[in-house]
Amino acid sequence: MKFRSNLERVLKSGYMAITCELAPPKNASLESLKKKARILKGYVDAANITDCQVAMVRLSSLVGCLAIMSEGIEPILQMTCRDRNRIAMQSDLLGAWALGIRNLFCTTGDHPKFGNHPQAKPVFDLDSVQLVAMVNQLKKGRFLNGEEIKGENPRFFIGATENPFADPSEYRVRRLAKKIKAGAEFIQTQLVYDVTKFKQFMYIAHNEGLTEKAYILAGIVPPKSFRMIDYIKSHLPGSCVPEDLVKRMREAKDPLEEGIKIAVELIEKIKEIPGVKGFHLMAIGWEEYLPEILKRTGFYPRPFFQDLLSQETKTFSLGEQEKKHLEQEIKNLKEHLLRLESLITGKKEIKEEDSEKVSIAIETTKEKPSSVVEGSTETTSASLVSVKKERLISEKLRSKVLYRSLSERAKGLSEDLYREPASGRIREVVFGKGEKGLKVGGAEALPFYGFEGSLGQPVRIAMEVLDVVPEDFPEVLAKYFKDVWNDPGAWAKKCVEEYGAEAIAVYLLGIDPNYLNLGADHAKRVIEKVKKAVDVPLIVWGCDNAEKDTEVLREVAEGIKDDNILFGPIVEDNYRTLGAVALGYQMPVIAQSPIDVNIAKQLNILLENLGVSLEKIIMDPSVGALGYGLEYTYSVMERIRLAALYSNDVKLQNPFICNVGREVWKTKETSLPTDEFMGEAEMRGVMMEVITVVSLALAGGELFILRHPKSLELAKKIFNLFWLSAEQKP
Amino acid sequence: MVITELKPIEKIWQNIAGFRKVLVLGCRGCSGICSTGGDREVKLLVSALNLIAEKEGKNFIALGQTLIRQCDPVALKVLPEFLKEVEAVVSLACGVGVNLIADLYPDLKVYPGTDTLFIGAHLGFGVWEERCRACGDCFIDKTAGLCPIARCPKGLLNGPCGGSQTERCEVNPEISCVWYEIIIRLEKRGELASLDEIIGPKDWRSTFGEGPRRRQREDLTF
Amino acid sequence: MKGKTLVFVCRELVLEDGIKDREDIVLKTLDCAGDLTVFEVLKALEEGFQQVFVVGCKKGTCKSRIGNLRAEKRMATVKRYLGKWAEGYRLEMVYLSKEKGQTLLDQVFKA
Repeated sequence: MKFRSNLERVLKSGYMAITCELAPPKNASLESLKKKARILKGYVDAANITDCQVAMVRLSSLVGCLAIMSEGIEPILQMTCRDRNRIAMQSDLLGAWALGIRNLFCTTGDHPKFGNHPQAKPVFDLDSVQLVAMVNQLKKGRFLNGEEIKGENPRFFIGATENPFADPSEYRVRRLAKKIKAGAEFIQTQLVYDVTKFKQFMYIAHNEGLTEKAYILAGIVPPKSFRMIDYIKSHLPGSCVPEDLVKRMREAKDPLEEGIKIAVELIEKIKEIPGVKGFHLMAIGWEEYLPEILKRTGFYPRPFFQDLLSQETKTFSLGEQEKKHLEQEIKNLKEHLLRLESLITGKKEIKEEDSEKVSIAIETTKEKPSSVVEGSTETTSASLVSVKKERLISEKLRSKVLYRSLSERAKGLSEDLYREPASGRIREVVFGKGEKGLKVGGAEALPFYGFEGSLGQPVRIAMEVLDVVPEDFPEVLAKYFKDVWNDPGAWAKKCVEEYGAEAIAVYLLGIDPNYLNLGADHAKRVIEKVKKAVDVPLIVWGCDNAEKDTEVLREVAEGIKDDNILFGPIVEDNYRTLGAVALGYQMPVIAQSPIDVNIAKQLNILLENLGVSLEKIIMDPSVGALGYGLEYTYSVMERIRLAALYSNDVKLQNPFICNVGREVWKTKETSLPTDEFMGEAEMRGVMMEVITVVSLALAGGELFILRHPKSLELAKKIFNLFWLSAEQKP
Repeated sequence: MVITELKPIEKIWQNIAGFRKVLVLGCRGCSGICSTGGDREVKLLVSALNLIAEKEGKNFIALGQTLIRQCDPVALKVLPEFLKEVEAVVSLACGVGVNLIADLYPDLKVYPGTDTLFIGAHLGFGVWEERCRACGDCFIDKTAGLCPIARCPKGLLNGPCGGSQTERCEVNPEISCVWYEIIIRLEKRGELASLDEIIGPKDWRSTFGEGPRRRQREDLTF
Repeated sequence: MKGKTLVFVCRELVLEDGIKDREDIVLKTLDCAGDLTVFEVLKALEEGFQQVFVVGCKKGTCKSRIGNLRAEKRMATVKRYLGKWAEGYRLEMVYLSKEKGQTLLDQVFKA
């Protein structure tokens, strides 16, 4: 099923929808609106942008929609009949659709008398019913005059309003029916305070079958003060406020809290009325309290559709220019591959030499930009003759680091134009004992966006040690560990001393009830061995069987409590027991969620409620290898990180751990032998591992567990490059 | 009828202060009936203007005359008879009168003495209210004879809006909500269902036209 | 008529002595104060009167019920009609009780 908008999708998927109302400012700055949007992001499915409400001159609704879209909130464009005739309206509608606005809310609009320009000529060329009908006609591909729209036509998800409390009250449902007949697909009612009267209205609407034809969202205005509710009662035309609410607000010691309570109670009551499909919250300059109300009523978090990000497929024709560009890119990619190949299989000396050149090159280029141009043109025009490969590689590398810093490229531009500093910060989690402890996280900017803020700790890479002799390691991987894999201690030692692992992850594969089903004693022994062999921080990873992990990790924990070992994974099914263990021994933990933002957050909250400090949690979003769902992991991690940094969602501000190695080395591609078609086996596996790691690091990953020593080496090299070019500010 | 109202005397005086002889021209049509431009009002204005002239120390005299109508060239034919030495005319008819005098007597300076307000009814002593906006395409057969274009501030064709409460209009609580009235009446007649049909967008050409709207009845022209 | 005062008075009212004898007061008797017209007042101003009074019965005692109130409104209309030129004129409505009509002179010549 195709959906035009998130709001439509939420409603049609059977969820109750939450919308809210945002008023653009009475000036020419979008900042205040964007700020409100940031507060509400993730709490609402869509937000109405009012069209000069109460006939006050405000910033254009259309522009306001764009502003909140840029903040990641889906807009509902409000359109009134007060200020535009049918020509201007249709013109705006075409524009809105072209800009990607998909929800439209049609209303007649307040009379200019109520606003700040009572002298204005009221247009009212159409009324709200006719407006809805017109939008519906556009949907069918025709303008109001019947003329065919050639090309793309707007197909808005159409909304309208109805006031259940205005007179004549018996006629209200009929008018609602009229709007639905005209084409309204969702209805946001005027503010509801009188639940009994609203129930009657809904009862009739429900009996008439209207609730089947359109989604009705009840309008809620949280009362802010006695003055406000009194004003509504006595001044707002067509409102109906029961006396006891006014009394409650008058006598409230803390009117804010009372207002929130009233809103929560209203929502709880109204939600039970048959036919109510959601709520439209009008906070009138009080947006910061909406999240609280939504949390208390259980409407947070909002449903999130995984495929939404990949849903939009764009068709485009390839012009000559793009074709050339694409060819150039492919060529570049091939060159990169060659370079990487030589890094893995080639001689060590060259690599080191290269990396030295790297740092020198950076310094020289900053002084002499002219040589940069020469260098790069030379390299792009150079042919890929294999004899000259080595020289070429070094040149290539140089051209790569002839990177012009962002501040240089953006010289003369105001910083605000490209810098968008985050409001949140990722927590720094420490695991390991004392000085050797490893810090993870701490970023105040998106990965490698050093120009926007501190990047916190560098990316950390751990290597994996198995508690039993691995059976499924492909030869290209096994050859590095064959000599040591009988002894976890020796294995760990090799990883650290020879391959430079920053931490060791002990994978308790043997305890898996579906495999060897070994007991806690075995696990304890293995961990003890590793502990003795190396002094880097340890990660203890269960067998991913929630029940067995609980049983084993509980016992293991006692033995490792003093070493501040990171352990897990804790999942929804065993968070109580393992959470209690972590709490008891004050150990850092891995909280694992199944590629799902909401569950990730939920689990953090559950653990926190249990008493586990958020400062001790590292999140495992569950990862997929390249070609095996990497993109899902990527988008979930990205979303979590954006929420953490830009919506300041404190429950998500934890670093990520990504257990990449095992996912990669179990894929079919890594175990296929070298052949003409698939290329060299080892390189193939390493590339898969490195690409996965680098991609996930770009999505926010901070701590990685790898298997192949070459992968570790290559990944570190890449991260170092990124780090250099990220221009981290001191 | 066309409802008019006398302009503030300061404004009238402004236009004619420089003349020596001015004719105040009444109209016994609508303007006379709504007590703006009948014989009595002409007499009053003449008297007031003379008084003002005296106070201002001006050599000025106002005369008064009243025609049966000013919206008809036939009725205006007699006008030149009253124009001896008259330098300007203040018309107490509606805007139509002023226009027509200006059309017919291009050399005559004619000034409006009234503001033309609306097409309305006499509701009681000294009270008139609008009942028709002359939109040129009457559809009040569908609305129980009550016109929402003239009587609803938003001119809704598919009303009522969401603001009416206790039968009053939200924009102007002095008046009752015309859509409320329409619904009550149609309900009594058992015709409420006729409102379920959406009244489509209005063709405003009949209202705003292309220049002055014109009516021609073939059987009367020759 | 300069310097003189015009007093319209309702036939029902008995005026205090002396008032009829005063040279600077012109009296005009009406069947009811409500018979007064705007035109009459304007005419009086044109003739040169600076002060025009209309004397009606006390509120609630008018024989034609609201004639006195009507007279007051007419006086107000004259003022409004003349706009800024009404300044300098004294145009007033006086309500008098039928029993004791002592205060008219005070009213007319106060201040």
